[in-house]
Amino acid sequence: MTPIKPFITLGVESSCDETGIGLYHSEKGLIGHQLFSQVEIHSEYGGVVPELASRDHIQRALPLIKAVLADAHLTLRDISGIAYTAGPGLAGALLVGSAVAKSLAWSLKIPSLGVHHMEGHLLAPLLEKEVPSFPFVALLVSGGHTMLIDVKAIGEYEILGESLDDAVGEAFDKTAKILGLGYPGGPALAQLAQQGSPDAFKFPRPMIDRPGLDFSFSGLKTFARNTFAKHPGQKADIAKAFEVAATSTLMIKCRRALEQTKRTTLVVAGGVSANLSLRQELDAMGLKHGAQVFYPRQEFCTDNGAMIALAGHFRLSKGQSTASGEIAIQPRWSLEELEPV
Amino acid sequence: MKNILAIDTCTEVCSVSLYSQSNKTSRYLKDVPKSSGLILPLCDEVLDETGLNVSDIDLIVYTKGPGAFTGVRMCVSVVQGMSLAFDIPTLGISTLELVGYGASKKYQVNKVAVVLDARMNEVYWGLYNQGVFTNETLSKPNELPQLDSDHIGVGTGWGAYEQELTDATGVDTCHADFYPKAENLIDLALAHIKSGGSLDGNLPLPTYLRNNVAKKSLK
Repeated sequence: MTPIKPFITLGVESSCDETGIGLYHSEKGLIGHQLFSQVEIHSEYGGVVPELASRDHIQRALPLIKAVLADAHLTLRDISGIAYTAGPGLAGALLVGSAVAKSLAWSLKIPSLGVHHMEGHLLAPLLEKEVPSFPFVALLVSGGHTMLIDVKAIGEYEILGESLDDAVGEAFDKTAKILGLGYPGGPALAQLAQQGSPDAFKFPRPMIDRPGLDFSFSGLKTFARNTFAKHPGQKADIAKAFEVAATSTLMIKCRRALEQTKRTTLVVAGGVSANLSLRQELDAMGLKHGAQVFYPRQEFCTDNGAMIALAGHFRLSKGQSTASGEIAIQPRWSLEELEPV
Repeated sequence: MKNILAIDTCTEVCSVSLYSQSNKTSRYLKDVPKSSGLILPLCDEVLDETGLNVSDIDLIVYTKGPGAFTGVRMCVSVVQGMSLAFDIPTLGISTLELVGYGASKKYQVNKVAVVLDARMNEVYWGLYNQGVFTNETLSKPNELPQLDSDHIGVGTGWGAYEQELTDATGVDTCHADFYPKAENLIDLALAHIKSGGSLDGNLPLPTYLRNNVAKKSLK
């Protein structure tokens, strides 16, 4: 009996300031991944410079693909399909990964697929040993997004709420900047908060007194700025008060989303899902309300190629692909526009 | 060198050419929005017409810039992917040299002052003289040097800054509406090989010329 050939998906992520490559195997799961972070390049500019991001991606993508294949002892002939982030994200950055991936697949005469970056994030917990089962509620929290999504199945998404202004990760970074913690300062702020007193200041919980599942974080950042102006010596206490207000707001909205949808599983992903205070708060809420909470491992909270390989794999292995040979990206793209698998 | 594929998407036009059995099969898109994204379907057309596959290609010659940043990266990224698939050697050629060669062939002149509009009151320029390309630079239009009177001016820069360029260079014959064409890349690649020039096994990378693209924050 001839064994069925495994389906192996190569994933390419280049939507912002990280070049990520992943390799997903139909039987063995994730068999390789590598990442190059541009954080140092952008840190001296105080934010991501799109043109510099694109210039770096074009130097990294191909060497990373070669390295991931070599580490997995595979060649390009073993690849069954190629997935690349087609959006949302920075247009110039998306184009580099999309053009490399698409032209490689075109040359090898294998299918390719443009993946939605946020679908990659919300499926990232499926890379772990213990995986959530569908349906579930997903909280996506990063520097660019804050959203609650009802996930009925892969590709069947309903956005329950999102940030009306700053994303929560953006609020972390901006508040860190106010406190002089550099860029991107979100993780540094979380670290400083550990030394702060929870009782020194009480920050408002934005929009929890209103019905609905939308968020607003820009006011919290302003509150931090005003508090810092009055109490410049209490950086750690301000960091703590900010973090508590942000994470408990997220927790309250997650609880509401679970109640509203009657789901018992919560998936939390995106860069801010690495925040340990947020995880503690959500775990406690889950325990109290009988909901199971799932996170990706720390390294897959931020952008990576593994999640793109996984999200692409679900679709490519079922025969879905981007038929057109045109290299086209979707810098603005709603999750709700995706097709079911 | 049996089969050569040539690709250019660095400016507002997009073209491919496939050289096989001493024939060129070419496609050229002008005035098509986002034309660089259509490069693979164009390659499909020339390969289908010739009955070849990417694996039959012995060399990919491409423009590496300067030009529109996105167009330059599209060209280089596509070449990276294709060359990786079958370990195909590559040869990157300056967009300015390609325009200079094309113009000298079309207008039957030896000396071409190639000037492309780089926006922000600057131009990418270089000098093409009987097969030799020099002076590739980004500068203000009025910073070009005085040139011999037997030069012609070619490229979009002459449309955007004709008076300033004429004043600076003394060149009074120009063709602003002249664009790069991949079929001329084939000639340049063949000449390169004939003269014993080496081919690149390294990663294809862009030439930008403009490198001052962001301001550092005052922390």
